[in-house]
Amino acid sequence: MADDTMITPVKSEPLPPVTQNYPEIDFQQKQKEPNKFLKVLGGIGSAALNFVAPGLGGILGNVIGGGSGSSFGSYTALMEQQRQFEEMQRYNQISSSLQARQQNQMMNQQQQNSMQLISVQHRVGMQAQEFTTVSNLMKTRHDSEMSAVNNIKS
Amino acid sequence: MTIKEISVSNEELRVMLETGYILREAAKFDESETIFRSVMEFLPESEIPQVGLGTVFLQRGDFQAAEEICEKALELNPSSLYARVHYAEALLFGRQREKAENELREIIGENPDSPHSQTAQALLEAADLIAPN
Repeated sequence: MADDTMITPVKSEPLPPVTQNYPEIDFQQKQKEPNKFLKVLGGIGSAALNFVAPGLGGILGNVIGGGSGSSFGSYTALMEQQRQFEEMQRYNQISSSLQARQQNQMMNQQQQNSMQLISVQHRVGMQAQEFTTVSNLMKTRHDSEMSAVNNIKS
Repeated sequence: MTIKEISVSNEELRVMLETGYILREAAKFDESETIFRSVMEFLPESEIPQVGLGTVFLQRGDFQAAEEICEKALELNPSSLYARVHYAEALLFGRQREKAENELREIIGENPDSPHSQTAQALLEAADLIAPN
């Protein structure tokens, strides 16, 4: 009974860090760190701009250098997002135009089929009418001939 | 022995005429023509075998001969509606539509209840098929 987990609380052990099981997350985080060259370039740019516009140089230096609180990483992500969004829009446009074209083709096909059907119906109707007319003529002619034959007298 | 010496009853003549019509409808025009010509020998005063002969030529497609034969039949009996209808029919097939239609309307106007008038009416209705404008 002492081992019953419902009564005795289970001893919880601390979980290993996520990067131990998923090292790619750590790798991605490491990748976001700015390189040394940009850090140096940011420092030089900051110093130079501070002569022209005090305060602005520091901000720009941070942007280029990608230092702590830098907006350069998020700007790149934003650009990437925008690029992806534009790409999606392009795909959407292409897909829409393809859909519209297919719809047009289907409509045209349907229209042609309808016209053919109407034409066939018209021809069938005409033939039925002709058949009725000729049949009526043959019947009346037969009646007329029989009437004439029945009236002969030698 | 001449034709006049052969005794033929009306019933036999009717059977001969009906045989002529059946042969005509079976497209046996030569046999049908022989029958009608034979009946013409027995009934020289009657327009009926002559009109029958005219219809054989009509179905052969010889509209000119059909018209002439029906015209001769009309000379025998100018009041015969049977002869008039088939004369008009020959005119219609011979592309004389206006003349034919006038004749057919006249027949219908004079005897609306006659079976020949019904044929005339049927011919008028079929005029577009027989002789399109």
